[in-house]
Amino acid sequence: MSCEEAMVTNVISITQDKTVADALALFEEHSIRGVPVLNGGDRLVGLFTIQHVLRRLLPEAAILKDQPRLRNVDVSLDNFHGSRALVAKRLKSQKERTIGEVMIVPDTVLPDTPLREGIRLLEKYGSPIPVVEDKKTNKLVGVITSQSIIRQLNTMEEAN
Amino acid sequence: MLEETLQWDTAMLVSAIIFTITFVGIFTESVHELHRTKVAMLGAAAMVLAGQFFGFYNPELAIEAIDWNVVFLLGAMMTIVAIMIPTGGFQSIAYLIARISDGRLYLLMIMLGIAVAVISCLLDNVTTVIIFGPLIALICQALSVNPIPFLLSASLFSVMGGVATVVGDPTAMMIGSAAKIDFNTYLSHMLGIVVAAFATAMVMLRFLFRKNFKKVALEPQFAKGTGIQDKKTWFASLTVLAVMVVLFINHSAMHWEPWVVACIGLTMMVMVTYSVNLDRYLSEIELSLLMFFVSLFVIIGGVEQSQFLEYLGGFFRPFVEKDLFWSCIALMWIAAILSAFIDNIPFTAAMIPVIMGMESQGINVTPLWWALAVGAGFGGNGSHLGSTANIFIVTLTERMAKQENKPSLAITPGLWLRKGTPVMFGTLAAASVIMWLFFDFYEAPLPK
Repeated sequence: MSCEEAMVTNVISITQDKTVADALALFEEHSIRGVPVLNGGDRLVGLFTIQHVLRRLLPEAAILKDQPRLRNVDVSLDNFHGSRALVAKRLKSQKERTIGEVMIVPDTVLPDTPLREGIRLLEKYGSPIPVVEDKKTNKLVGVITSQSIIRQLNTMEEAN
Repeated sequence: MLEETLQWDTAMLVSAIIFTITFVGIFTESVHELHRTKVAMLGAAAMVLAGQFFGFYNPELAIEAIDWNVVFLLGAMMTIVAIMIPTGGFQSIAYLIARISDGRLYLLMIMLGIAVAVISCLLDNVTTVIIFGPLIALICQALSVNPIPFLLSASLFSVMGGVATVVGDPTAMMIGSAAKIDFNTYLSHMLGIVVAAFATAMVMLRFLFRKNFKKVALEPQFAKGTGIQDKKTWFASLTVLAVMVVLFINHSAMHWEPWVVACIGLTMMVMVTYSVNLDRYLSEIELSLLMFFVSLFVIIGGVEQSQFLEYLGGFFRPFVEKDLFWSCIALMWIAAILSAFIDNIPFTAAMIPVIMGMESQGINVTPLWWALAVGAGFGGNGSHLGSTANIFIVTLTERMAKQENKPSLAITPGLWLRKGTPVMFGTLAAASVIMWLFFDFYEAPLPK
């Protein structure tokens, strides 16, 4: 079984020049949590998810996991009460940024990538994972999401 | 005379070439981007092979040259602190300070400075800054004040605190181990200097950041409660640390080197914190740093065997014999200025055999050890690259500036030069005055 069989093809996407506010409106409108970023045509250039928004609401000092000796440390923000204004201010400034500034370059799968590899990547990086026609052109053909895979597996089980 | 007994020979030439190339490679890490440990490993291998070929060094002598006291002490202390950090205990200290200071910013800096310096006395100062840096940034953010004065001063104080004890900083460990200086002797000679330096730095920072210390209204942002996530491990660790302090104070009487105390402490710590996952914490040991030490000791061992550094020391001998006090002051200031720009660990490693060489010629080198300890220690504050603690703080502020899109939040090299470097000179001046006032004390030979 390949990723092609479990992917969603009517993908909602965004372009790099749009803002975070635009993306958040898309998330709300379509009840989704992430969008592939396209170059204006059908070429995949990045990924932007709600997870990235959440990360940017936190102070940098609380998320230094890549620093040596801080890997095992959770800097708790439990002691900071009354920080609502700070978080709101940060969200406001994030909303104005363009998607090109804040997107990440995601791991992708090909349509014939085995589904188990797709599940492994979803577990590692979170949903969605873009499916591209080939890694050179990066032409987006769909996305696999946690739900799309479970749905496909359920359908197969019922058919059996 | 030394110059007459030591003749320049091939062994000296070969070891000098390998030593020089390796040290230049280590000091220019930022240019070629080859990690200092890799350069040191290459130098160590070259030294052993060349030594065997030219007959002045071999693998057996190389193993003997490694100061395992320093390696085990550093490794054990790193593991101990790795167990303590996730408990949240250090966080609770930082938040308690934030609450007590009640928006009085200079008081906040003094209290944070004392906490950082005292913790750095026992724990490696890089670790102290890694713990306190992010917390200071969060506290300043909650108070809506510029974090730069507080972060920069934390880095300065952690470096100063590390100078106070023989286990506070890797260079102190090396000097203490090589000169066989016990915990109490080291502390009694360094404490006065560090306290004077601390006071000088406090006054200077008050002036340098005078615009940043207006009282702010403290909103009820710091919740009451300890904030300690794992009380059992935290208090067990504190108890073990207390026992370790007692053992450090008495290690000489018990004929233990400091590494024995650190390893006993670590063993106690993993026993009292019964459920601690050892693999997780052992992975936090900076093995590349320990490897750097091992390689450096092997290189220096080769240079010692060839007697090159002793030969070099012969040139300094007339100055030391002529005026011991001014030789000490010169060593302290030169060590500090060099340590501000180059790595102070290899510098100290190279200076140790030079001083030991002079000692073997019957010169009283005791005050030179203290001068080297102060110079190599305080020198770390001279530039933004002077110590690993500084580099961490600078990186933290750069990331914050990027996230907030405010370049003014980053500590730039120029800013360090205006605010940090004067403090280093101030602390050196304070140390020089103390040494001048009590030179009889610093000159007295070490208890054997």
